[in-house]
Amino acid sequence: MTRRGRPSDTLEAVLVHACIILAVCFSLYPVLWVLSTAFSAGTAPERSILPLPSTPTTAHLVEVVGAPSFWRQALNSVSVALATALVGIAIALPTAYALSRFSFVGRQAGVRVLLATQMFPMVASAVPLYIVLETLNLLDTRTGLVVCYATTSVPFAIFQLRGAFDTIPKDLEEAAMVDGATRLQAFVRVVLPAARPAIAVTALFAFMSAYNEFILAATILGKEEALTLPVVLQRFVGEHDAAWGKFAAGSIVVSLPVMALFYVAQRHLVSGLTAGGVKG
Amino acid sequence: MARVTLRGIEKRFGDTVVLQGVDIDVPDGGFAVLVGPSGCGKSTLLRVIAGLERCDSGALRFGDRDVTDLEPRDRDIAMVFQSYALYPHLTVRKNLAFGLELKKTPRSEIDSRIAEVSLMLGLEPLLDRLPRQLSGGQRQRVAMGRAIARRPALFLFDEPLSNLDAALRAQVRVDIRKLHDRLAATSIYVTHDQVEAMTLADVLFVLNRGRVEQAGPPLEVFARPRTRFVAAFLGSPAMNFLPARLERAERGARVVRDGLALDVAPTNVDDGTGGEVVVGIRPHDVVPAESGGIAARIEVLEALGTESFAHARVGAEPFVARLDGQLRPAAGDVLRLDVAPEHVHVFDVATGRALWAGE
Repeated sequence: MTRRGRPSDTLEAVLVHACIILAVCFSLYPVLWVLSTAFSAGTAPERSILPLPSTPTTAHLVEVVGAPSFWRQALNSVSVALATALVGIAIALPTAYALSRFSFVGRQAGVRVLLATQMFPMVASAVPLYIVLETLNLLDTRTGLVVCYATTSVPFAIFQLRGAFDTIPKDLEEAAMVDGATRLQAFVRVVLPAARPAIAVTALFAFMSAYNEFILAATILGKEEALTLPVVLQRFVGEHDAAWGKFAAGSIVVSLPVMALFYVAQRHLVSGLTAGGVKG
Repeated sequence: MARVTLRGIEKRFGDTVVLQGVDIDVPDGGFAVLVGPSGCGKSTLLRVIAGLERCDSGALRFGDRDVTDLEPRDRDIAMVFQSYALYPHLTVRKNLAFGLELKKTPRSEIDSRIAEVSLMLGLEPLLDRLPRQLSGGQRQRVAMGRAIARRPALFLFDEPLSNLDAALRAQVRVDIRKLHDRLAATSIYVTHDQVEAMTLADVLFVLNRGRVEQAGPPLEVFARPRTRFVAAFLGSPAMNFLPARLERAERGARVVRDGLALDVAPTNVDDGTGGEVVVGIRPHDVVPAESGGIAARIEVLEALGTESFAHARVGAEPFVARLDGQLRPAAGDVLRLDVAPEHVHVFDVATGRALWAGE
C-alpha cells in the first residue's frame, strides 16, 4: 500500500529514512574499515576517510587461513561453542520445564540463586576457575572451557526457556496426557516442538557467547593448538608488532560461521509457531 | 462404554473448597451435562473425572473399574477442551492419529479410523493443514474428531462451544447430539449455557458452590426446581420471585401478597403451617385472565413480534410476564394474570428450598 498526497506524510518519510540511513552508516562504517584493512597491503590501517583499500590484496587472508594450526583452532572454537550450547540446552530444558509447570519446595529460592549467579561478570570467577581447572587437569582442554562456559549458559538458557514454556498453554500437555501420553511423552512430543523457536534462539545465543568469549579462554588456554579463535586474533596484535591486516582478515573469517548460523536460523527466529493450536 | 459413578468427591485448592461431596451417576451411553455459574466447580469436577486433578477424597468408577487413582492415560477417556488444544506443530491428520500412535495402533487401523472420522465430520479437505490454518469452527471439529478417533469409553467436553459464534454454536450443538446418538458413548459435558444444558442432556446436574444442587432429566428439573437457585438459573427470562405469605386452604394452599393471590398445587407445598415464603413464577407460565390472581402494573413492554415481555410491578416488586404478540398493553395499564396452581413454586425464605410435599 502506498501513501501519498499529504505533505506531512512525505516529510515524515524523508525524516524516517534519513535517520535510518544515518544509523546504518554509523554501524556499518567500522565494519567496512575492517574489510578495507583486511584486503589492503601492509600491516597498518590506511589513513583516509573512505574505507577503500589503496592496493587490494588477499595476502592477509591467505596467511591467516594457511597458518599451520588455524583449522585446528577453528575446530576448537566451533566444538567448544557447540558443546556449550548443547550442554546448556540439555540441562536447562528439564529445569525450565519443572520451574514453569510444577510447584515444589525451593522453587522460588532456586530461581533467586540462579538469578544471583547472573549478576557476577564471568571475569570475577576467572582466577578461582583457573585453580579448579588446574586441579582437575582441565587447563588447555576444550572440556575445561565448556565446563566454564556452561556455568553461565545454563542459567541463561533456564530463564529463556522457562519464559517460553510459560507461554505454552497447559491444555496442550493435558490433551496429550488424556490422549494416552505420559508426562514425559507429552513434554517430548508436544511441548518441545511447540517451544522449538525459543530453543533455537537460546541455543544460538549460547553458541555465540561461547564462540566470542575471550577473557576466560585467554586465561585458561596457553598452548597454541588449544587456542580458540578470539585468542588467536588477539595474538596477531602483540606488544611489539601489530599485524592489523591479519587481525582484520582473521576477524572476517571468524565472523563467517556466526553469519551463516544467523542465516540458517532466521526461520526459527520468527516465532509464532504455537499460534492456532489453542483458539487465537 | 461405561457407566460413570462418582461418590463423595471432595476437592480443595489451599483453603478454598471447590467440590464438597459430589455424587454423580451417569448411565451407560447417557449424556450428562454439568451446568452452573462460573466458580461452581463444574470444570474442576470434569478435570477430576479426567484425572487431570486428583480428588482429596471420594471415589470414581467407570463401569466396574475403580479409576480414582489412575492416570488420565489409563482411564480410556477423550476430552474436548474449551481451547481445543490442538497440537500446533502437527497437521490435522497427525492430530487425529496422535492418541492412536501412542497406543501403537497398527497403521492400517489408524488410517481407516482417520478416514471414518473425517467422513463423519467433513474433515477430508483439511487433513494436511496445520491448526493455525483453520477457522474456529474447523478447529472445533478437529478437536471432536481427535476424541472420536480414539473410541474411548467416555467423552468429556469442557465448554466446547464457547469460542464459536452464536449461529455456529447452535449448529454444532445439534451435531454433537447427533454424534452422541450415533456413537452411543457415555458423555459428560460442562457448560454454563442453559440452552446447551437443556437441549443436550439426558441427565442434568446443576452445580452450585461445589455441590450438586439438583439432578435429573432436564425438563423435570426445569418443571420442578428443588431450590430457588436452580429455579433462577434455568429459564430465560429468569423466574420471578416475590415475597408472600402462605395460607392454608381446605385443598392445598394459597399464596397472598400485595397484588397477588394464587392457589398452589398440593404437590408444591408441604403440610407445614405456612407463613412467610418466596413465590416463584416463570414469565412463560402466566396467562391474561379477567379473574387472574396477579395484578401487574405495566412499566415497559418489549414486543418481539410473536411474543412480548412485559416488565411490570406486582405491588412494589418487579415482575416479568411473557404475553402473546397480539396483546399490547400500554405502560401504566394494570393487567390481570393467572397462573396454573402447579406452576406456582414456593420456596423457604431462609434455605431457598422448595416446600415440596413429603420433603
